[in-house]
Amino acid sequence: MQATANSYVEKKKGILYFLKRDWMLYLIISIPIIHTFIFKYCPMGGIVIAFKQFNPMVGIFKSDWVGVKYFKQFLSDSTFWNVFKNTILLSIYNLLWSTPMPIFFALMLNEVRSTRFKKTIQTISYLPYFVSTVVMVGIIFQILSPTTGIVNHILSLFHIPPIMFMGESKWFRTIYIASGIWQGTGYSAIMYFAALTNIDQELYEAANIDGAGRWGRMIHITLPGIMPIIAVMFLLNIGNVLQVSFEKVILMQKPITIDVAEVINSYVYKRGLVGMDYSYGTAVGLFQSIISFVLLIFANKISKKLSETSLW
Amino acid sequence: MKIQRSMGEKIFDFFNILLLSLFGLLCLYPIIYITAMSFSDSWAILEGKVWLYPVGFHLDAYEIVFSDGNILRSYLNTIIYTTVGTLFNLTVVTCAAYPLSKKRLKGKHFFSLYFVFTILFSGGLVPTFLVVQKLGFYNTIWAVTVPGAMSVFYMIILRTNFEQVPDALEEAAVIDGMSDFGIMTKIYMPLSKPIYAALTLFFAIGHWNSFFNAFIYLQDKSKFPLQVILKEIVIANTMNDLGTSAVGSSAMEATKLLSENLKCATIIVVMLPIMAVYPFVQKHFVKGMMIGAVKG
Repeated sequence: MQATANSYVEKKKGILYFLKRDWMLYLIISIPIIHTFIFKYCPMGGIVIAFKQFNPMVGIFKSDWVGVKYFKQFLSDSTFWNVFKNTILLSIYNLLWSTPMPIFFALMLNEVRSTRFKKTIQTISYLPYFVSTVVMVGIIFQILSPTTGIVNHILSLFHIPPIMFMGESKWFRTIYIASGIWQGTGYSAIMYFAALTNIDQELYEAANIDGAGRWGRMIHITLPGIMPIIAVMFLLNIGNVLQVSFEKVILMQKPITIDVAEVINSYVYKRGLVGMDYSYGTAVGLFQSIISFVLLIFANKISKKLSETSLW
Repeated sequence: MKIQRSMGEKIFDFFNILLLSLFGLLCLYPIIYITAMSFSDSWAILEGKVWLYPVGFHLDAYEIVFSDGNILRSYLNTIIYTTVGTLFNLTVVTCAAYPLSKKRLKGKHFFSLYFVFTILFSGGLVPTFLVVQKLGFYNTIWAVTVPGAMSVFYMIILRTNFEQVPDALEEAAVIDGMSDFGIMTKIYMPLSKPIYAALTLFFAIGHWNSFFNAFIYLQDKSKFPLQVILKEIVIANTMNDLGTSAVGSSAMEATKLLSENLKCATIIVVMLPIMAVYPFVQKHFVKGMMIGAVKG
């Protein structure tokens, strides 16, 4: 009663009343608001240079409008399309390989009876997540080194000549994905663990009484129980399909592997910043942002629908 | 509740434990391998004798690493960037989370949307770079500490935490004549110590491991953080002479092949602080992830 009466009174009061009453709260929140405005919204405004012939000497406002010139330029550029293809392929292969791993891992760990073993393995499993990208790529270079790396030493035991893993295009995606699995499996599995602990234990007991075996329980109770979260994670990953990690790619690629290793993010960096072709880089970046945005919104819509319906 | 396990179940358990143990070893092995290499003799490495433990144990590589001016200076840089950056993170995130945890704040919904939208859409690399440059941050400490100070994900975690503090505490403080700022700093923040411990660790690790901003915005070698120096040593395979600036002269600088144990020792030195705090991190980690997941 009290609350509704209050809100009725509050509705009649103007914005000034609230500004006066909570001025300090507004003052506090103005810090992150200004910060976000400068570092997030100003760059969004800066997108206009994609439609201008940006010249840093004369500034954004005085640079000439060129319309969609830069979009036409990159859309008719075969280099761009190769980069686009690389990004999509790397992302999709990565998605197909690294989505099931944490699910298998969580399901397997869920079957373990010893809590201590469970805890130990889980703790170890997300250690790689805290290893920095530079350190990880450094480790990859060491392990795969053609002269001193452990992998080539093992291959030589089978009389296989040394392989230049980092210097051959055909290995790039495999190494990218495998190292991603190493780094991300334990971390991604956390979501599934949480979903697994939320499954009603009575279901398992009922299944036991009905004589369901381990596989039966896993397929008829556990898997359906975590299906919504699997769907949500998968869809959100699809939303990020164009966002290949800049750091890892730029650290892993070599001039010789560039034909498969160049992705949109690294291409924008090289053309836009290193080559100082600001407008071109912004145009490509905008193209990527728009596709990502649409995909994310779309994925979010579907996942909302899915997780709602699967709750019933 | 003891259930007699069938033969099939026993076999299943056996392979399950075996595979999981293998996976655990696989997670650790690269780190063990690099550690072993770093303490080993160069010849033993070349002959492929090192795979699990150091062969021809010595500390030469570490002596070189700890006497290298570039590495030591970048270590100091990283410590400074991490400290300053983490303080900015905590300040900005708190200033967003606290007001947004108040139901009475008018415009709360709009502000939330204002922050969340930045996750979905961004101006992209080039415009962001131009803004940072225009502010005069290029090649300064501010470029690596200020632009990323806000984190919507951790802000939501902190806001959720603030929302769980009982309103009665605030009401009592208002009667005592405390201001909103006082209530935030003297009541809410001390009550949220555990979450602040976790956030501090996450932000600090993020800064320690970060490479991208320094790579893009810093030009002088004397300002490089560890991760950028590590990239030069391990991946680009170069160790420039002490004190030289990277500007323009990098092509002319003498490039020598570095021995493998030296590279591995550098990797270990960069990773060590993270490994040292890991036991504390993993305690908070799962919990923090879950709050973010549920409310995000």
